[in-house]
Amino acid sequence: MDSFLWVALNILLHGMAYAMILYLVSIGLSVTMGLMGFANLAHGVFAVAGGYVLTRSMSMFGVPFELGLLLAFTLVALASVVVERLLYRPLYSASELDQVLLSMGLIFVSMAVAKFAFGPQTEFLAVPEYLKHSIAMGDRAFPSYRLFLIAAGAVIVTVLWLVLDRTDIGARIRAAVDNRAMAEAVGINTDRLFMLTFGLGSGLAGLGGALGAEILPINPSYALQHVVIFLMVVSIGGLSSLKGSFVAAIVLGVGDTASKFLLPDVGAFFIYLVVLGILLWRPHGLFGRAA
Amino acid sequence: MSIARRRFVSGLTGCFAASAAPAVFGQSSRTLKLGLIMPFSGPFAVWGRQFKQGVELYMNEHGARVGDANLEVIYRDEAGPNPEKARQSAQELIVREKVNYLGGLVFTPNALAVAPVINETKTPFVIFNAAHSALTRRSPYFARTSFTIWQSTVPGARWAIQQGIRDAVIIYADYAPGLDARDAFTSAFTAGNGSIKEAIAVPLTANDPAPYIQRVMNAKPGVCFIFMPTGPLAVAMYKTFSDLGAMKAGIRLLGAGELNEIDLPSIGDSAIGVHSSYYYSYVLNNPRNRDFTAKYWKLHGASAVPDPAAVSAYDGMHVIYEAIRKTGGQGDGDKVMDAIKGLKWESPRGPMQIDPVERDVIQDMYIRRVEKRDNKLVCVEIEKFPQVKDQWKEQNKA
Amino acid sequence: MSAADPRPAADSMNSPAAEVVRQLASRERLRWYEAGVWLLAIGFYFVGQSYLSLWSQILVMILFALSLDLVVGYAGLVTLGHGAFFGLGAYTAGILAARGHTEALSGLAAAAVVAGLAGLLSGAVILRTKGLTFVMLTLALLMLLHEVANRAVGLTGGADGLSGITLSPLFGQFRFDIYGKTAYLYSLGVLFVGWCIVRAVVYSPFGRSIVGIRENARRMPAIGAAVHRRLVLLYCLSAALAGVAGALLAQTTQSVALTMIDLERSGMILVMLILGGVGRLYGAFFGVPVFVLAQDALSKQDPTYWLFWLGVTLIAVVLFGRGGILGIGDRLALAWQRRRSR
Repeated sequence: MDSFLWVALNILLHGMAYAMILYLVSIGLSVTMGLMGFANLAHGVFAVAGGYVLTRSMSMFGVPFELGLLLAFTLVALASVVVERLLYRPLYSASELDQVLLSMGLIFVSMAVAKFAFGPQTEFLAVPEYLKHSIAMGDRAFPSYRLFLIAAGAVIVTVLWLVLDRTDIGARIRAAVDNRAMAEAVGINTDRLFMLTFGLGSGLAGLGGALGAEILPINPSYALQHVVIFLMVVSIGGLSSLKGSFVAAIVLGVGDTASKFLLPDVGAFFIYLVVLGILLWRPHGLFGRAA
Repeated sequence: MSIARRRFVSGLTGCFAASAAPAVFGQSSRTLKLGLIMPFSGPFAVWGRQFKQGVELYMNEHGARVGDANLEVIYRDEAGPNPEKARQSAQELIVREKVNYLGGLVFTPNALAVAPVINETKTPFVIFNAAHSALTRRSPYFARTSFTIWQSTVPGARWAIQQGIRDAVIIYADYAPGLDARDAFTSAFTAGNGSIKEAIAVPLTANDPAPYIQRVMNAKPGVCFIFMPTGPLAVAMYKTFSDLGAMKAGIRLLGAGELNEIDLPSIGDSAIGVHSSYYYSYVLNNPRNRDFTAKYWKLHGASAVPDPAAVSAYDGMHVIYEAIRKTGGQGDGDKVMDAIKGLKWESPRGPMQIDPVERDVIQDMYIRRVEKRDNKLVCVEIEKFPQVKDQWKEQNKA
Repeated sequence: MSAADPRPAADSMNSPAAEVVRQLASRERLRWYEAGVWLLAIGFYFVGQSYLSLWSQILVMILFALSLDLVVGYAGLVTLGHGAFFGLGAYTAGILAARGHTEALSGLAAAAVVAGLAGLLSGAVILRTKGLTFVMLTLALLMLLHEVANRAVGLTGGADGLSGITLSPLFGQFRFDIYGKTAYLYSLGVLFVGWCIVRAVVYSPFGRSIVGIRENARRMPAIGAAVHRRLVLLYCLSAALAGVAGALLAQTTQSVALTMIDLERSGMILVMLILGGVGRLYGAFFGVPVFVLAQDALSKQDPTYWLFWLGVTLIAVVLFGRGGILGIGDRLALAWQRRRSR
């Protein structure tokens, strides 16, 4: 296989897999930040929780991989709703700073609890046999789990878009995002809608964390380690924009992979320069709206 | 005398007798303090747990009494590579807690920051891990019981040459120890007429090492030397090597300390057949180690893992105890360091000594291969390089 | 006032902005107990011998938090990137000292200039944005500078940091000793000067216009205040002060490392400030010591799980004690007054 083509495919494959994970985790954050105006830095906690649900249900209870993914989504979604009621709801009208403080506190507590319950080491994901092979292309081989991630991500994204675009509930969510006051005036129960959206977003984050356990390893410090990249996807994409988050995830995911691989000396600068460039050009993100 | 008064007098006499007893038996209640700085919180907390297990085992075996003094251990959290915090901890242990000795430290930057503090106060410091070659030269009060990167890497390169391999690819994490390892391997491999086809730097922040591994596969070397910090990056690396069939393609994998029995389960069967060059594994076949591991499991439970960190801490305690015994717990830092220089003993890792000039560790280095025994993944030694010194210091005489 | 004659609520004399300005004006006079804080600090020098090193670090952090308060509290702009200026100042002072320019005060001055310049340049560009965008831009700049410091190993020592920083005795007389005696008084002195500057700025017409901008940015240009220019100036001043704090830390600990320019430092100082109470001169003086001492005590008690208690405390403060420590203090004072007036 031609060297240039091989390098390009390599970067594309790994970059897109990374992008999918970023998207799955960040989309929930984008919507909740746009919808509820809540600066939730602790969103990564839902992602890592999903990761732990998957790895532990598999290793401790022998749950199969696919069921584990489903559990990661549902358990985290349910738990997040409880958290939303108890901790976030009282603070929707609070200052941004108080919200930041609360999120920081949540991150710390989650780090300590994770370490206490699961130990300080990185979690090990037992990928099922049928996903462990490498796919040969010419005389090179590519790990099939990455392809699976891309496929799974694409499916989930499509389902998400279809739900929001074609269903009744999707229409209501879009209405509430566009103009909450009007949506309420028309009789939409925004309170319950928020709960549903929050749960959905957090569940997706849990699923993303679980699927991406090989790319973003599951360990107690996860939420703190990756808070910056999730925020970057959200801010570049534009709040509450599904399309925006998707594009942002691809730009950051593929771009980061490419720059670190091709220019290891300066690769780390890439994403920060991208953030600066895009936000200075379009302060509300690529597809965001002026408030 | 009435009964009450008799009781009172005998009681009083008893008190006097009891208080005189120490003078009679020559026992004092002197306390010597040892400050240990190691990570207990954050992503590196495993190190703290392992170090502490080694320390506790030694103290459990030998008691907290050394000579005529009680040794009190005070722990401080190192957290991570944070020179400012390490320096503050060391300074506070000396000034506030008034420790006589210091020990611990996983990270080289932290040790570098501590050096001026121990230089000014002449406090002996036994390094339990930080593996940069030049460290023991930064302060005359540093001694080390772990290893140096050159010390563990050079034998690996020599072994590869011995196996007839003449081309290698190095894949290393892009941080100071990684650069160290790259230089060490290059130096030893080229000295044996080998050539380095490629040296691939992987950023520490890279989430997915797979694209870099593709480059290794592409180069098809006889051996691939891997240097990664213990953790998720290393795990991902070996899994991907296995997924892509590196060993089947004839590439021998040579790692180091990241292949240890605590992290091997995460890597899984992908690790079987991988070689490494390091100083300890709990399946080392010598009587001292068998005794050590038996006591370790007895004290810390069957699920505890005696790993190189625990042994480094254990040997570090030995050095401190010996220093106290030799100096009687008296004398300033210079006397203690004189007592430490040239110490020789039988460690669970084999015969070991503290270099009388450099105060660094001289030990046997093992080439190991990962195998499955009793359903557990372990590093089994297949070759030994006896009493290896740190090559970098040998090449760069002070 | 009868229900049939409701006065318009948006009277310029009663608007929130005017209220804040009135509050500030009433506090402008120096109260006697303010001097008490400084006397206490000087007294501590003589009694708290073995804790001087810890407290001199707290003093440095208070200065850092004060500088942050100018931006977060008074201008109302949340930033996660102030650590960049702190780090710039630290590295400037550290590099100068490591290269033989061991005079302490000129090191501080150089740090102020470098950090202030960075604040001026970056502020001019990014202060046109606000909210999440502004936060992300400050974050991106911080991470960029962090990476530069990581890469420029010849200049900054990279991940190993700069060691071998020695300072010549302060004023030619006072050696920087291991017990932190000189460091403590030096930090106290610099903090005092910094505090005077911040106080003067906050109570000046310039300071009031900043508060005005915070309360209603759209109205300010209407009364002739150039919004952007004022914000940039404030940001530049804040950056310079943060740089001085960084330089102070580098000089008193005789080391500089990447941890002085990382996200944790930026985030933690924000937490400390919010804990104490933003937008009030003394918030920093409460929030920082409480946080640092609690962290110190907790991490010794329980090195493995102290983070848990810290998190719980933060959550509790937010849920039950809005406005930080000073906010709680306010409410207590109000309750006490009410009780007395009954």
